[in-house]
Amino acid sequence: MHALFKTIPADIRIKKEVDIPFALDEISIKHFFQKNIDNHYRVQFVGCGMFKHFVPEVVTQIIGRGEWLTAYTPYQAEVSQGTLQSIFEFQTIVSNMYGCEIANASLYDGATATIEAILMTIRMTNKKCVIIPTNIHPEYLDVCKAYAKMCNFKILTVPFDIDSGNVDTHAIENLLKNGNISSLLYQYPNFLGGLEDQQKLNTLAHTYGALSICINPEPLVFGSLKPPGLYNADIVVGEGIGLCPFTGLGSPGLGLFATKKKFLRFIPGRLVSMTKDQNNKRSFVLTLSTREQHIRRDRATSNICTNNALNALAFLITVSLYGKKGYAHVSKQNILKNIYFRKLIKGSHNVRLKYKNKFFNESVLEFENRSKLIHFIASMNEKGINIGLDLYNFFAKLDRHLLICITELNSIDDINEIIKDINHYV
Amino acid sequence: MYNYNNIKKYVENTTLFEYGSKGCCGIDLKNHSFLKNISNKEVENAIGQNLYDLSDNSLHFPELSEFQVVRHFTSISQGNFCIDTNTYPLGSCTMKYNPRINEWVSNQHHFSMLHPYTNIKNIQFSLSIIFDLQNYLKEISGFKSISLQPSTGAHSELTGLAVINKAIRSRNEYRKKIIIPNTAHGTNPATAKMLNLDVINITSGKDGFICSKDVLKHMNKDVVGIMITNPNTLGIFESEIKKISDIVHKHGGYVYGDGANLNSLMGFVKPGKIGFDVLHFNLHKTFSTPHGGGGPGGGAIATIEELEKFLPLPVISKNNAKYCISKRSTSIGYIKSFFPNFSVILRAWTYIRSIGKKNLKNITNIAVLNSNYIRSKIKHAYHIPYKNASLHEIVISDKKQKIYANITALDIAKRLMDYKIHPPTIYFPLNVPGAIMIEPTETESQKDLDYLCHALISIAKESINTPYIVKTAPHNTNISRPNEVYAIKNPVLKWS
Repeated sequence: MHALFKTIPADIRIKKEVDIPFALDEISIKHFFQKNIDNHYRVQFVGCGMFKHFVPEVVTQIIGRGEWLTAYTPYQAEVSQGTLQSIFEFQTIVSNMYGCEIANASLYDGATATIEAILMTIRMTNKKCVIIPTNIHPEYLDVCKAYAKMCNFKILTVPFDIDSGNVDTHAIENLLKNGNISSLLYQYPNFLGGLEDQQKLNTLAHTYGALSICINPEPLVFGSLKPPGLYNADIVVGEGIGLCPFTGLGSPGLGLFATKKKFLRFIPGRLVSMTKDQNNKRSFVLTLSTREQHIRRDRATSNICTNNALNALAFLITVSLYGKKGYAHVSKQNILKNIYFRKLIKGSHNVRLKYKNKFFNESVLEFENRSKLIHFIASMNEKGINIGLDLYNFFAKLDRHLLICITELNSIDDINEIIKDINHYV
Repeated sequence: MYNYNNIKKYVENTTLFEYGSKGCCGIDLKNHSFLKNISNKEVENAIGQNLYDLSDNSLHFPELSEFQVVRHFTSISQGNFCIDTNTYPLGSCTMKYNPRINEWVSNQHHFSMLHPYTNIKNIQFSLSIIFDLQNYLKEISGFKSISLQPSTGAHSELTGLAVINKAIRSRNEYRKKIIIPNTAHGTNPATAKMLNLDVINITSGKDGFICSKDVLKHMNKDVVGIMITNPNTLGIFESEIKKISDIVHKHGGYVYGDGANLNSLMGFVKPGKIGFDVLHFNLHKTFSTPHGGGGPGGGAIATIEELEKFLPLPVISKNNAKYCISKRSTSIGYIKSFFPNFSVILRAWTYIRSIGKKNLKNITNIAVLNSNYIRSKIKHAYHIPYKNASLHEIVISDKKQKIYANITALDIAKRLMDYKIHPPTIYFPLNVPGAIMIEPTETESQKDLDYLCHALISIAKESINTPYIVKTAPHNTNISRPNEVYAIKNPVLKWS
């Protein structure tokens, strides 16, 4: 055996055994994970860019098949037709959902998809400055700030209008007027659940020669509302994890990326095309790989290699099960439940709705003071309910405000229960 | 009259959008009766009037029953080779068996439902798993500091180089170049470019090693350091690593280790002890988490203590028996949303705990033994460009077959499919013309290795006796040699 390792100089080899624990057998591992369990919430009312939705059992069963689970990146087309076809179908679904002409095979998560979009607009325009309103997901903004330093671009942040929760279009227009902007970003629905005026924002960006990037943390909104592509958004990125079975701690995510066909050669990540084989049979292949790192090396459009294919597959299967009818239906059910919730909130004396503009799935509740909010969150935690996000974590001005999310997974009983609790605990 | 082949052709490649029927739906739709009391006007007030009608006939969106969806995805899955069904000796990718206990752990309901915005008191156990894995990886690699935040290998490279950049800037220095050997993975130079670093390419010598003299020639105050894969992509251990790192350190640079090939070092060498400053891990390679058709994987970067303060956020640590999440102002910041890839971490944790301290070294032993076993069996049939002993993977080339019958690495790869073996990595590393890079991993049995060697030797014989069979392979797959040029000229990226 030692002869095999002779190229490793003796003074480099370790002398001691690596000090990790002794082995556990399968029974012990199962016992360990049955015995140790985190405090599990009975009900959750948090969204915040990780909107858990109904995922049928079929999805978990299918993605557990070895053919999906234990294959690698489909570089060899003849023996990867399954993965390639699923990516082709995924690209179709994502581009149609976002009203765009094309979509890629997925990226890591919504935040890094946002980065890839920014870097793409910088490559296209040769301008190194982007405009970002502060009502996008605060973690996405943090990621943008970190990458701006790493990859050397500039971010102009625009505070959102604290009274409406929406972007401040005048401030944005003033920045755009100064020129030299590669892209304008906006989130739809924004972090506070509000729906921005897409028509206006895209037109604004284009008027001043900038590209527009829409961030969508919640794809289900497009079961009801017109998608960004139809408002001429140049790039749409999103987070698809909510329609995948595993959402543990929000990661790994599923970065969605769609854009216009004319930008094809600037796109980061993998693309699958339908083609014909040598016997004229329909087949699927990775294409335009000359954009990618394994061919183009330091001239690639991105360094991305492994992406999140299995999550993309899960997303595709979930949406396939929903279908046209189910997707619209579940989307509508989210809206109806939120309307039901807001109606009841109006009757409460303890809290009020901070924003009454157009919204999807999330509401900001204003409490009388901060201590009441803290007390309420703690009481609900005791009851096994994750009631929402204390917005003070991200916005100093929203110190007595709770961001609460209602989806199809929350039953009418759940909603009635928290309304009762608001009246009781606050 | 009944043309079976036409029908078969249709059935095999049919997309989701070509069957199903209007209004068909794979989930159970029930409405709460009293939600019906909400009027259209109220809906309009809530979301506005810009409605999107998915039922539009021109919009391609599936309309299938649950069973049709199951059948579709089960049948198209059979167009994949995978580790479970085929030997998959893809060099540099470490396609080892993915133990199913890992799947059981990561699919536990109480993990899969956790929201990232959960009271920290309620995720102590989950954080303890992340914390444990941090410690195991530190111990295995010999580093003091670690972050599991990066999503993948490429993402780790970006994070690691950003850490190095920041460390150099913190000394008020600006350096704009990085040394990368020609044997490096494509992600290395692509990552450097994203960080605006110019790449200085160095070529490995005739024996497959990087020569420390080359590093010395290029290393100066304008260079942040070097990215090295060790063992390199030829499977050869860079024996001058200590000399190289001394040179880089002397000039104030850092040594970045691409850990894609860690499967050949575990239990033998700790990269943190031999001059590396940063090392990345691919949990989906060395630590058996599934590749999933191209992710999600799991990255991680370990560093020397000096670089810890620059590692990405959030920091997951333990304080007075409590697990905490914290920030530090010196960090490069947040590189993705939420936590590290938790489901992948659960699997890697389970793998390391199932292996245990007594068996860790055996993984490396057998991985290296298997690759050398293949080498010794096929050495007369194929040209082996580098004579130095290789570790966990072996690079051969198509040189002999090309001379005899113009058979290329691509032809050999395609012909292997007829033997039901997934092709190895081809045309990589770039310094070997017609490279075929084979990494069997430790989990292939001797019988499987014998079959792989038999297939390779048979193909070498076929290249002489019946070259047209190799040239036109594969013959036993559903499709054969899809037209890539056509796809590039007329990309069809969605169903329409």
